[in-house]
Amino acid sequence: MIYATGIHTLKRYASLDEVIDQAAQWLAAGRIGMVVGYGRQSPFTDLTMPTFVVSREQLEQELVWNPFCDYNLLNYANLGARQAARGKGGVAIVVKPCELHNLDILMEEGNMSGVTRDNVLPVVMQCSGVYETDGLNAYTKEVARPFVQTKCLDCPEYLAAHGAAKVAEDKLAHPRYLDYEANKADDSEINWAATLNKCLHCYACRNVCPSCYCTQGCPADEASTTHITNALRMVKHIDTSRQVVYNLVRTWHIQARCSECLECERVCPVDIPIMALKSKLGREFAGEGSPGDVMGFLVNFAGRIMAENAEKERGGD
Amino acid sequence: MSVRGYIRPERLWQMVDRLSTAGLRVVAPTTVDGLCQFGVVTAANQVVTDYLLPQNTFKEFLFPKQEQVFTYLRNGDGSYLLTEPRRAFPETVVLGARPCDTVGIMGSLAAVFGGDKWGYEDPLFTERRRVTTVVSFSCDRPDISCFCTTQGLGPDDPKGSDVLITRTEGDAPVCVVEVFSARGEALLDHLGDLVAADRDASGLALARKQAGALARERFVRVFDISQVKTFLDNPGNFDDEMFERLGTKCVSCGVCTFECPTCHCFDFQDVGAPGSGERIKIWDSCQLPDFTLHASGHQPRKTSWERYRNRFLCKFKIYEDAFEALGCTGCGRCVRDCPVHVDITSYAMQANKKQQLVQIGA
Repeated sequence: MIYATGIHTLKRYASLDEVIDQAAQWLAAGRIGMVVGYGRQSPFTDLTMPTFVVSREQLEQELVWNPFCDYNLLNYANLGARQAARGKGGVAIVVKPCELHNLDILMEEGNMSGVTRDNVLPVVMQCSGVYETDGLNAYTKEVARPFVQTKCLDCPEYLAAHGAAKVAEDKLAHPRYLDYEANKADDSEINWAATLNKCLHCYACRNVCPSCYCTQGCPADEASTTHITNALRMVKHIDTSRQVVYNLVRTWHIQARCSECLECERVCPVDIPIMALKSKLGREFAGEGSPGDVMGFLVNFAGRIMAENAEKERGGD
Repeated sequence: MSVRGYIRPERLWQMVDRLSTAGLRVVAPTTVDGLCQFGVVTAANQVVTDYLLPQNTFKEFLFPKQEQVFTYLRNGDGSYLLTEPRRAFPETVVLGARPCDTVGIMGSLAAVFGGDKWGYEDPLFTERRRVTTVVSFSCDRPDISCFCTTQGLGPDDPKGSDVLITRTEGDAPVCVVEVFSARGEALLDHLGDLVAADRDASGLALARKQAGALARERFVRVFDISQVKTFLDNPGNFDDEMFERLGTKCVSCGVCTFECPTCHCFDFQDVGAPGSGERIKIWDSCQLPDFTLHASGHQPRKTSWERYRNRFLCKFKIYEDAFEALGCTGCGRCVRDCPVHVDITSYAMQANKKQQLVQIGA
């Protein structure tokens, strides 16, 4: 998809010093009121936590840039509109090149997301890959070798930084990459109803998704999910679960607005293959859906995965 | 003296076979959907032996993620017939729990769901707790997010455990077995000759104590929280700037609460049609925007930072005031799995520092 926002040709910053100089200039000129960047999480680790800074001193003290800057700060892009409303210009946000597509989406939908070229200034860093911090579950500095995220292995920046041979080697060594690719292409091994039923309703996938920026009225909220589940049962006689409904509603909602930044898969505590679900929905909609009847398609889809599940369970007996 | 003997490390997980054969439901770290999680196992080879902490806590075996409370059916005259499901409470042994989880669940959660302090008893939790025996394993290699020592516990803390097993250090390690309750005693009968008693108990006790002390030295995330409660007790600090500054980072998901051994909030939902259906009890999270949302539309905690302040207060003040129990046991799951690495320990450190500055100034 080609977007006309022009942000892909913006300057790439090579070092934090350049960022600090530029951001301090913007702050001094009143162009922005705040910088959203990566800051140190704690004195004990190299992990990073989002930080919101408003002065040159704070920039120098708090900003960091390292391979542990894994999450997507565009999730905080709505702070830009808030700053602008207070007459403080906007915000500068530190982004990785792969996240620019998210910014495209946010700006395209600016009338709803509130993000405009004026109130969000991206500070694009040169990136040579970020680590999968999920692997730090039992992380001690001495033992674990961190590995890069799945998305980095498909990234042109990573390829440019490390060369094709290293990328190929990393793909093979990566604990998840091959599964991820395989699941996206062919999901026949996955029992979807059972997989989705693992969902805890923690909403981490929704809340880290830059495309999920609504602050109220989400059809995937806890109560709404129950209402939809009940409606399916009463009107369509499809016996699904709240978990299935939540995942279908949310995944469909980002279907064409997803940059595959993989934040949702990264944060899911029960490792639901959300991108594989998205691919499946896309494939099947292309086959049988019609733009005039999206709801009908989703209802049929829900019915189908429940039936498949029943079949698989019968087969297992 | 609570030391009862030792198990050879290579025979440790044979406990699963023995207990399963004896007809008990055994919950141990196992691979569920590719992740190391507590799950029901029936044989030693299903167990993940090389683990620090499973992704979930074993609280879901006492307080399930989702359970039916009753089913309802509308009669012809408009009245409702409510039917409670037939529930089974199988005798359960949790093997390989870590002391942080054990204290959190058998201590703190139990204080909420069956505590004397506030006089409420949750029948389902109490019943499950009555049939649950916890065999904790001391930690020997804490990771960078572990901070139980800071919370006043330790890698070999026996609180809440029926049996505690500690692997000793050195050339010929053994797993020292200590028993702390009548349920633990009963469990030993099932283990039979797996627990050898041919060594001097005081020697084993000493080796076990040394192992605990060594593990304690390996903690990295160690800090001072002595002033945090004082800071939070001052009502003037409720509107302190740090809550908004730090809490705005929170993305308002519920990962930290669902993985926490002491988080206990739940919700009821009716699933089905008006004429028939079921009422379910599900985990809820104080971090979600619709938690405590009133029917009028009023929301007492509108923003993510107000909700995060609530969680912080719950862990470091409310738990202690309301339930006389430990709110945070330092398992570190919320630090490890936060999508944006928000770190409750950095909160605690800042609150502590603020209170210290006040005291120096005074």
